Amino acid sequence: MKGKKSTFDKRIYAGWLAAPGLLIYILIFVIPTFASFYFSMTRWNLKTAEFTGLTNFITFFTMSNTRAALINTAIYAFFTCLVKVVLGLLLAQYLCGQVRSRGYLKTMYFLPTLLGNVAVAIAFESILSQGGLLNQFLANFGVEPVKWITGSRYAMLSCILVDIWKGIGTALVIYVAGISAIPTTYFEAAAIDGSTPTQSFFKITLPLMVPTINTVLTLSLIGGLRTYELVYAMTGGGPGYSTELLGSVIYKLFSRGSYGLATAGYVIMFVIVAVIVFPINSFVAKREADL
Amino acid sequence: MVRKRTWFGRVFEGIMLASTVLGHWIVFYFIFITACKDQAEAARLTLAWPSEWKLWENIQYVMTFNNGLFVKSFWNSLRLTVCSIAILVFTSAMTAFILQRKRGWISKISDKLIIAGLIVPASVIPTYWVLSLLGIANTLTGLTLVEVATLFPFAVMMYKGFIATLPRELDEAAVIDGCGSVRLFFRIIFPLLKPITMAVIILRSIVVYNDFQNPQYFMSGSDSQTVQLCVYLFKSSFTSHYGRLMAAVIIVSVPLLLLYIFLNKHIMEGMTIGAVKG
Repeated sequence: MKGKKSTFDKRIYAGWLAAPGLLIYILIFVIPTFASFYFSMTRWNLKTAEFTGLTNFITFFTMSNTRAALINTAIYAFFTCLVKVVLGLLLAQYLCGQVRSRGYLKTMYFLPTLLGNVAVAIAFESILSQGGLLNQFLANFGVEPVKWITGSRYAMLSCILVDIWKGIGTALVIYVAGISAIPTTYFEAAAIDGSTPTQSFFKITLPLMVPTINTVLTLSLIGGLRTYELVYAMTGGGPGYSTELLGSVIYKLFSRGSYGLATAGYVIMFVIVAVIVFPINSFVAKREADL
Repeated sequence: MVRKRTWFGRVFEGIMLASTVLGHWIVFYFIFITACKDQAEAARLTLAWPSEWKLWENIQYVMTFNNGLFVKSFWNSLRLTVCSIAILVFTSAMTAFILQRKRGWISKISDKLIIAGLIVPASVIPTYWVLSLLGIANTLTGLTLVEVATLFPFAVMMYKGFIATLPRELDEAAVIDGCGSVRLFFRIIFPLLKPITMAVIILRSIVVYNDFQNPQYFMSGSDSQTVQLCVYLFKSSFTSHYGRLMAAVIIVSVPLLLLYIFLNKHIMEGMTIGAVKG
């Protein structure tokens, strides 16, 4: 019976239907990913590659902006991710309650996610500039003009806040979907048994939201570790190296033609993302099973 | 369960509404009002009303700048978005269908590669190398394939999750009634995938249209640019003219805002489907 079934399967599911997609994916994504491990160890001008062992990695780590970029990337990924995960959940919980302007608020938080990184960068660059809107507003309270993005002290903080402004809508919508999927009977039963809203949140919503929180956490962490466009468009990595990210270092190496070195940078990013994201994913998956 | 709105609840809602005025409306208003000003007034970066409305002049300048570079790049972005999303939808749906229904060693390996692709970053420079071997580096065709490959894993996962809920009896019945494999997919399965297809089309169009990284890597050596690269170019050439710059920001954002106004419900639904199958 089993053999018969599988010949039937073979007949009705023509394997070649999967071929175009897999071909594009393997050719344009998988092969380059594997190839990067080789090219990261070469001096490479896209035509000829001369094997140089670990030289590129040593050069990469001794470059003057690498240390700053690694630290900045860690800070950037950690804080954007933390705020999106926590504040996003609190906002979603709030918007799922008795709020009259729910639709309006959701739209407002979601709209910035539709804007491009460059557009957002241009808008905030002028708002946060030294003579910009924010400083004009603060001047009413007697605050001296602050260099929000042109000074190294607040540049990173400003970039993180703009990233959150732009990205929290995604987290919010995912969370709202997750909370709406919880049957309301759970909350009703808990309320009859005398549970306060706070208790319901911690004892019902939070445990049932673990998979959703995992989704938001993974998405924003991966995003935070590998993105650079918004910050690059806003500050170009400056002032100094204060907003240099791993992604922007790699791009700068690429644009000046150091292909081998840039690929070594990519391999480092690959390892960082893999080492951080895979364990978090399996850890959360385990917790989920326990609950 | 309906609790009475408390005094605190009302005040808190007021605070939330006020925060959107500060955090969103002022930003949008600032972009708009700056785009309406001439160079000197725009440079003051205030919320003040313009003494003369220059919105139309600024838009005209942006549109005609460098022999209509902006319009050309708009056309490129449109082609890029439409082509890559069309290819993405068909290839990922077909792949997901086969991978979900046929469980052989090829499917298992493909599954692993696709799940890994959700997490690891794309290696841009070796990709550029592959494209130049294929003779499509610095072309819109090459960029289209890159967009498809980048978005492929997520789309396949979404389709696969949905196809798993379609009973196999459906396939068997169709085949017994004389459907071939191809007809089975295009006539029976693909129409049933409509919710996912809508989600992929809407959400991924936004991503491709707004993409800056891939065009920056793969198209900067080419004369055909995408609209995001073009705005970035404006950013460095109009630094002293915020009015024109903000006009460009508005023009580049309008297509997606219109999309949102018309497809609001679908976008939210799409996000929801995408979220469940992360």
